[in-house]
Amino acid sequence: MNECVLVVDDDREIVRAIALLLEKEEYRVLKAYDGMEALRILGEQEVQLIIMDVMMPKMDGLSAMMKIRERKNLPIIVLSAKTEDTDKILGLSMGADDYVAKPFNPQELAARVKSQLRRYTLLGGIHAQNEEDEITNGRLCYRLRERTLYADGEPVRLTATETKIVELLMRNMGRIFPAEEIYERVWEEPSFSPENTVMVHIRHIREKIELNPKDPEYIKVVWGIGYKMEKR
Amino acid sequence: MDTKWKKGKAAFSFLAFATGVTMLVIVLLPVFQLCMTCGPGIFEGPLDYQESGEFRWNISNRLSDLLGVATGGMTFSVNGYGDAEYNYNKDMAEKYGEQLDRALNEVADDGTLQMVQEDTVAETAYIGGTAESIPSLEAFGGNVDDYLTYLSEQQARYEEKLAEYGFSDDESYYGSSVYRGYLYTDEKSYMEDMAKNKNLRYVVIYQNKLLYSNIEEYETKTDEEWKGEDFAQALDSKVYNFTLWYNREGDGKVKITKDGRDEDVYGDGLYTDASRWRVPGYANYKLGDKAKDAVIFLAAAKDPQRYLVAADKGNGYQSYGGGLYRLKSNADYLRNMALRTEEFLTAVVILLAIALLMRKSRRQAMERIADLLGKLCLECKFVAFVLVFAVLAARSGRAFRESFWFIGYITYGFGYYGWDNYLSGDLSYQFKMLARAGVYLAIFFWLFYLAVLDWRKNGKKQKKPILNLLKIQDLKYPIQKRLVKRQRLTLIAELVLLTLFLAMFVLFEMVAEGNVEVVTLTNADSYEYAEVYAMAAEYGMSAAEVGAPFLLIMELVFAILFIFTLLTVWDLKKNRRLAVDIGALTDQILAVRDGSLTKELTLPDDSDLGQAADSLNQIQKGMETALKEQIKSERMKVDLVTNVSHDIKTPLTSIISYTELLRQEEELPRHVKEYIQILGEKAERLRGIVQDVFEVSKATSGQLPIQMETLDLGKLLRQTLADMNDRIEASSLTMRTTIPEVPVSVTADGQRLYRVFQNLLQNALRYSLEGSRVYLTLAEEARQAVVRIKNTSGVELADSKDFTERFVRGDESRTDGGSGLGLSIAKSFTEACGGSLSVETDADLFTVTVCFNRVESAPGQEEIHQHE
Repeated sequence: MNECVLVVDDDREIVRAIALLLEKEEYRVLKAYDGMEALRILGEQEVQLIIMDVMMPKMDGLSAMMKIRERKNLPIIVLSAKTEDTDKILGLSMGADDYVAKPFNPQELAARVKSQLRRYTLLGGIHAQNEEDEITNGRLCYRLRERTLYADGEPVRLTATETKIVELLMRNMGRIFPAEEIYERVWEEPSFSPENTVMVHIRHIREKIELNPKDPEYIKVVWGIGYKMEKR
Repeated sequence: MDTKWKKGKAAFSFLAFATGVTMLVIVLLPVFQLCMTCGPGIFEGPLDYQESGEFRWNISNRLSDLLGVATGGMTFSVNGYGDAEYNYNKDMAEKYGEQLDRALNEVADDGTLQMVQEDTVAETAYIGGTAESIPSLEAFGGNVDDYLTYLSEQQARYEEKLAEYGFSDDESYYGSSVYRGYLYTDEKSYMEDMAKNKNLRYVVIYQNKLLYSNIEEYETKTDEEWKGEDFAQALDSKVYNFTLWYNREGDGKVKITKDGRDEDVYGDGLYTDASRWRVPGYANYKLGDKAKDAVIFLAAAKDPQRYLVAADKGNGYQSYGGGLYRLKSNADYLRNMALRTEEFLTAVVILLAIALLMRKSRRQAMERIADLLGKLCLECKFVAFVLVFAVLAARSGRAFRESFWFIGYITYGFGYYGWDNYLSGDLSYQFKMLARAGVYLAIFFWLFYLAVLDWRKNGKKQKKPILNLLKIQDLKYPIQKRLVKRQRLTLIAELVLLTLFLAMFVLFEMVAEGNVEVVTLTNADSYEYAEVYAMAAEYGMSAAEVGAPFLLIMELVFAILFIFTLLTVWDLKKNRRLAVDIGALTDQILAVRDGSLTKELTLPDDSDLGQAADSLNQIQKGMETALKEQIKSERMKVDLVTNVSHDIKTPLTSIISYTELLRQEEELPRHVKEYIQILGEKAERLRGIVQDVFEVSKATSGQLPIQMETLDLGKLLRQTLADMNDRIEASSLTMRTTIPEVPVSVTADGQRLYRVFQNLLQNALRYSLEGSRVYLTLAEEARQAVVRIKNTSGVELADSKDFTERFVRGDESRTDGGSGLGLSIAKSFTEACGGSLSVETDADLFTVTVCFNRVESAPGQEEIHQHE
């Protein structure tokens, strides 16, 4: 173990706090306070993941990221106080693997680090197994034969009903299902006011698969229409 | 029960009022006529027809006819127009003689009007002379000798004139023989017809020989000698109560006995306009020598029977009835009508008194009628009004025309129409006409009454679907076209009027020139026509003169109308340009409304709207500047908020992170852990507030990205409720929801709308009274989907507080968990999605209403099916 994480932020206290949090999770942590420094450290040491702020002196996060991407393929989590969707999209499109808005929940950050590292180290090379038998979506992978959902390569413990819902949504990624349809297809009986029942199960699934269940990335509500699995 | 009684009362009082007024209007003109023509005597007892002016006139004419027959002359004054003393103005007769003849007619015994065909007049004879009546003795200061001299001079002049026109004194009896051959071409046929009429008995004696009689005893004794018998003896004096002798004593005088009493025929012995009997024997009214040998006896029945003698004279159907029966029935009719009018008036008084006493209920009834009228559309009412009006106008024309003349005669005392005057026999016809006019008047009255009632009550709130439709249709055109169209309508109307007037004008001119026959020979019209010309004739006026004032008025109106039309044409030309300018101006206003602030409006320098255009340009410029300023300041505000929130977020990240680190410390004392817990919660809350402030500032400055889609509002609410189910169940509150099963489609941003209802429900959960209920309803109202969330506030709500203002809360202490931005965010998000949000408070009841325009179908559903 002991993957090395590089934390880059011009706010020293934040760097220190993140370092402390990650060290508790038994990661090795390197610190940098601007983009130039980060690039320097990367040149010197083996790093498995970078957490980087966007707004920094000397060289900002986005420029640094572009430089890093020229040579390395390691996961980068972008930190930013900007919470606009456009900022997020910009960050992700310039090579970030994840985007965390400030002020973040420390535990969520830790979970994201873990998730990214898992995917990078464990699944990185052996990505393509048998494509017919599994449906992959970002961190998630549903193996049809096993009827099991894997998140970051770890099997998720789902109940039978939850599995059915996940299978339905994974098989029809991006399609919006009204609650009635989910109910009728999973429970296989006519629905009557299914909204609450479906919602309860979806909430449970979210708690098991989402890094931050309050701000889900995968199973989303399309308000006034239904639910869908977001393609990532 | 009570209301029923009230309703009945209202209906009754109104009925009384309506009947009373109607009867009053109907009876008004006839009462006026009766009072003016017959005097109050008619209300006191039966009328004696022998007391009427027309009876005396009739008898004089009969005497005159018979004298003519006796002396060999031919003056048959069947209807009075051939009256010996009634001479027409020469010019008049020459010009209008033909028309006059045609217009002559008589009233038959049964009261119908009979036309005398033009062709029956074998010869239109004319005798000159004057229409002036014989002056009275007073004009000569009471000097009888002077007066007699004057009269003999007149007589001489008269005879001169007779000679001038080729009439000998023999041919015409004492004066003129105006209509020779009128009806009867010889005296024999005249006498044959006259003999059949047993209402009037006569004996004609000449040179002591019986010539004619229709008294049974003497009928056959013609050419026998008269031995001075009293023919009255041969008649029942109870049946024939009126007798007249002429020249019985050889004195050339008339003696009249009625009901056994002698009448004073001659008064002071001079004939004047005031004299009752126009018979020979006055000092100034003596007959020639021929007449000295004639003796005439006449007897009139007390109660004449109907004798109608009609004969085809080869030129149409003529009739002669002597007229006594008509006079009698006329008198009876008038008396009857007088009684009826009295009853009418009594009823009117009673009914109107009732209406007055119950005026409150009557007013209610009128309100009710007005309400009922208000329910009808204006167009229906207008068409009904015009139809009724047109029908009435067409039907009432004659009644009104005749009434108009009659009233004129009566009021100005033109004289023919009076119980004591020679047209008293027409009073019943007059009465009928006036009563008929009264009925029409009453209908007109109610028509206008209803119209006024409707106008006053319903005024401008009239329902007018067709007009509105036209208006809407009209609105489709640009304003330039509308303006020009409206003016064109005025012009067309004016041109039509002008043409109409021109036609009338030409027609009238032609009539005056005699080129066009105006008289349509229907019985009724010609009768009236004759009257008009008779009047004109008496006053020596020609038809052109009669029409002159009308003509003048018409010319004036025509001239005014012409000027107006010219003005309209000129106006139209000018206004067309104005309309174009107005159009440009309105277009510009629309453009400004739609946000185009840069393009300036340029109108020609001399345009009436130059100033308005300048002002608009200035406003535009002002708005542009203001808008720029506003946008600038809004942007600055958002930038500020963004920067501030960003600057807050960085230290907040540290706070949250270190609090988390602290939380993970295990050896801390219990109370310190508690402090850390509090720190964590407050830091979280601060994060929420910062995020809210950021969002609300973006939303209010219109910089919030919105993704509109069609969604089911009902489903969205159910989803929101399901999403918040944990919190709802954890609270002490009960949720009562009414959401229709069928989709209620609206167009909005689902994510934002979810935030709206999430905030609203959070608010309800947070601020409701413990254990109370929260009501959430979704309803479709008209074209809107309306969501209402009602809850009972836990704390007292201050009145008139705008809860959607930022940082406003029901509870001023702000110790709860909210940012005070919940409603503000909800409102700005709703508005950003095109909906509206309002808050109402009623005591402790707090109601939030969210409205969205509905979309007809539910494309959300369709979209789903398309994916399959």
